[in-house]
Amino acid sequence: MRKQKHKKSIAKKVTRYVSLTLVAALIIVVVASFFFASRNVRDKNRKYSRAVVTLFGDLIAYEAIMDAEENPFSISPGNGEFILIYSEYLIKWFDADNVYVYTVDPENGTKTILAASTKDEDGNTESYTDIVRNVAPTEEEIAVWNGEKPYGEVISDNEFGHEIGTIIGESDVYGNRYIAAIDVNYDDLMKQTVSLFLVISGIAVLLIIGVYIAVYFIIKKLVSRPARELSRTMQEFVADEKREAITLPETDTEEYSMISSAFNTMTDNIDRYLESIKELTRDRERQNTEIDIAARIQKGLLPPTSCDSAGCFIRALNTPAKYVGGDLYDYEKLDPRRTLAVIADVSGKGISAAIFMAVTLILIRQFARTSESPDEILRKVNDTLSANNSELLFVTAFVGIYDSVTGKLTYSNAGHDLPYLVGEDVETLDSATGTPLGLFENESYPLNETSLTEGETLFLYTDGVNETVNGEKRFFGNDRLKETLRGFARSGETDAVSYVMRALDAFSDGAERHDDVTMLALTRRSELKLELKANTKELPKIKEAVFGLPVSEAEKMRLYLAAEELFTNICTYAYGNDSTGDEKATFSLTAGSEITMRFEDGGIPFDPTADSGAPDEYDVDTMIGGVGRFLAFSFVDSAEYEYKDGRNVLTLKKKTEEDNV
Amino acid sequence: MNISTEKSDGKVTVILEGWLDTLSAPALGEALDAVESAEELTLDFTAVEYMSSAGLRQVVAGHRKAKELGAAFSVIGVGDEVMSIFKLTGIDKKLTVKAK
Repeated sequence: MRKQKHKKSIAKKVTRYVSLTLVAALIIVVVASFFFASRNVRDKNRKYSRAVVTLFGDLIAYEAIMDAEENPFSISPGNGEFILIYSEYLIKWFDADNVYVYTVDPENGTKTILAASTKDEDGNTESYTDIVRNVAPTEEEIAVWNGEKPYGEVISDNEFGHEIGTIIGESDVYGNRYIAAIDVNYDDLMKQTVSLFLVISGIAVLLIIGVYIAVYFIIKKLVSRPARELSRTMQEFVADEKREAITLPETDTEEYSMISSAFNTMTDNIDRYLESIKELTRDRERQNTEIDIAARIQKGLLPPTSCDSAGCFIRALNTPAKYVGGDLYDYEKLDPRRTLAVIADVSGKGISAAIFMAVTLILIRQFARTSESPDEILRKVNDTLSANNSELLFVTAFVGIYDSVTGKLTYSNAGHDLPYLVGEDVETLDSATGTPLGLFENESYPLNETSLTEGETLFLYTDGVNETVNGEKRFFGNDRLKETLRGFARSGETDAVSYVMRALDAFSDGAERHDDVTMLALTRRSELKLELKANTKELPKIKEAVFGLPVSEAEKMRLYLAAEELFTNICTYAYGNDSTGDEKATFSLTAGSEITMRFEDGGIPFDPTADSGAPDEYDVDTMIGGVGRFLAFSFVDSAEYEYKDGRNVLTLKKKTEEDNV
Repeated sequence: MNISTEKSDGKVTVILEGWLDTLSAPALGEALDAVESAEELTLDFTAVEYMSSAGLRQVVAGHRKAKELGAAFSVIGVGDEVMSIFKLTGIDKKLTVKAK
C-alpha cells in the first residue's frame, strides 16, 4: 500500500461545505430580515397612519357636520371630545406618540392644531384642541397640504426621541383642507425590527447548527462509515493471501449496496481468476518442464556434435527454433569402414514433430543395421512410417553411407534439400530423389553414388539453414549458402558447420529463428592429430583414435598395443626424471591403405628403434625394459625415427589387411 | 579391468577381466602383493581381451611372487591375441601358459 496523505473524511468535508453555505445563507437572511423588518414596519406604519388619518379626518368632518353652525375650521372643546377619544385609542392601538389633526397656513407660516393626543413618558394620554402654533410648516407639509403629494413623512428629533411622523392631507365634505398626522417613535420601531431580526437570526443559527449536526451524522452514517468499511475490506482483500470469504456487508443505501455487490462479485471473480491463473501457471510450468525434458531427451537421442576418426571427421548441429523440433541428424559407424550419415526434417513443429522425429530416428538406426544400402533404409523406414501415420506427418531425409577407406559415398534422398559436396568448388548432389517418408507405401528411392576425395566435405542441412531470415525478411538462400561454403573451403578451417552457423548468425543479426537449424558435415580427412600431454592418462584418447580406424578389431588391438607401448615409453623417458607429466606430445593417425602412426615429443633425443631386436629369450627373473618396444615394432611393418627441429619423431606404418575388414 | 582373488586349500586364483594395459596393470601388482601364502598361484586370463608389456611385467611379477612363496605358477585361459604376446616374447616357454 502506498502511504497516503492525511485527508479529511467526506462527512467533515460535506458538513464544512454545508455550513459555509448556511453561513452565507445566514448572512443573506440577516441582511434581508433586517431590511424587510424595517421596511415592513415602516410600510405598515404608513398604511396604518394613512388609514388612521383618513378615519381621523372623516371624524373631524363628522364633528364639523355635527357642529355645522360652528366654524367648521375649529373644534370646540365640547365638540372635539369624540375626536379626542378616538385619538387616544389611536395612540394605544398603534403605539403612537402623537396623533394630530391640523391645518397649515403656508402664507403666514403657522399651523393650527385642531385636535391632538399625546402620550407622555409614563404612557398617559393627554388630549387637547384648537391650539395655534406659530411654527412654519415644512415643505413636506406644504406639499401634502397642497395635494401635491398624497402623504409625507417627517422625521424629527424631539423630547420624545427619534420620531417618524406620517402626514396625510385630506378635505372634509365642505372642502376644508386639513392634515392628519401620527408620530411613532423610530427607536421603538427599530427595537421591534431588531428583535424581529434577532429572532429570525437566532432561529437561523439554530437551524444551521442543527443542519450541520444532522448532515454530519447522516453523511457519516450513509457515506463515511460504509466507505471506511469498503476500504478496510479492500485492504484486507489485498493483504490476505488466502482471500477466504472476504465480503462487504450489506448496507441500506442503494449506491453502497451496488458497490458492495459489485465488490463482492469482483472479489469472487478475482479469486476465481487468481485460482485459474495459478492453475494455468502450474500447467505452464509442468508443460515447460515436460518440454524441457522432451528437449533433453531429443538432444540425447542425437549423437554428439563432433566425432573425429582418421578418415572421417563429422561436425553436426541441431538448434530447435522452439524447445523441441522436428529436425534430426544422425551418424553411426556401421562397421569399421562404413559410416552412416543422416539428415531429416519432419513437417511441422513442436511436440508432434518431435515425437515423429524420434520415431524416424529410431527407425533409421534400426533399419541401417539390417540394410545394405541407403535406398533400402529409406524404403523400410517409409513403409513403416506410412503404415502408421494417422496425422499424415512426413519426413524429408537424406541417408548416406560413407566408406572411410575408399571415400565412396552411396546415398538416397527422400525429398530432402540437396546436399553439397565441398571441395575446391561447391557441387550440388542433384541426383534423383524420392518422395518424402511417411506418405505413400511401397515407394522406392534411387540409389546414387559419389566419392569424396581427401579433404572434401559432404554438407547436409535442413531448410532452417537456407530459409534463415534476416530483419528485412530476406532468405539466406542457397546461393548465399553455396558462397559461404566456398568461403569455408578457402578459409582452411576444418569445421564447416560452425563456419556456416557464424554466417547465419551474422545474416539474421538477432532476428527470430522460425525453423530448426540442423547441419551435418562429413569430411574425408585421413589424418587425425591429437595434441596430448606426455602422460599415460592420455592413453584412452589414443585408444579411441585407434579404435576409430577403418580396420578389423584385431588389427585395432595390435595397432593400439604398438601405440600404447611407444607412448608409454615417451611418457616414462622423454622428459627424464624431472617430468611433471604436463609436457607435450603429439600423436597423429592417418588412415588409408596404409595406416601411419606418428609420435612427436620435445624430450631427450632417443631412438627407440635402436637396440630393440627380438630377444630370443627373456630372463624372466631379471626382466628388463625393451619388451614393450619389441612388441610394438612386432605389430607394424616399419618404424622410422628421426630427430628433427629439436623433436623426436617416430613414424610407424602398417598396411591394412583389407580382408579383415 | 576387474580383478578378483579366490582361495581354496592353498590354491590362489587371481581372476582378471578386461584390458591389462599400462593403466590397469598396477592393480594386478597390488592383487599379487596381497597374496601371503599359496601352494598354487594361478592367473585366470579367460576374460582378458588385451595385454601390453605392462601387463606382461605383472605376469612375470606373479611368477616371482610364486617362487618366493614356493608355489606353482600358471596362467590359464589365454586367448589368441594375448597368447601372441606371450609367444612373441618367449614368455610362454618360460612360464606355464595355457590357452583357452
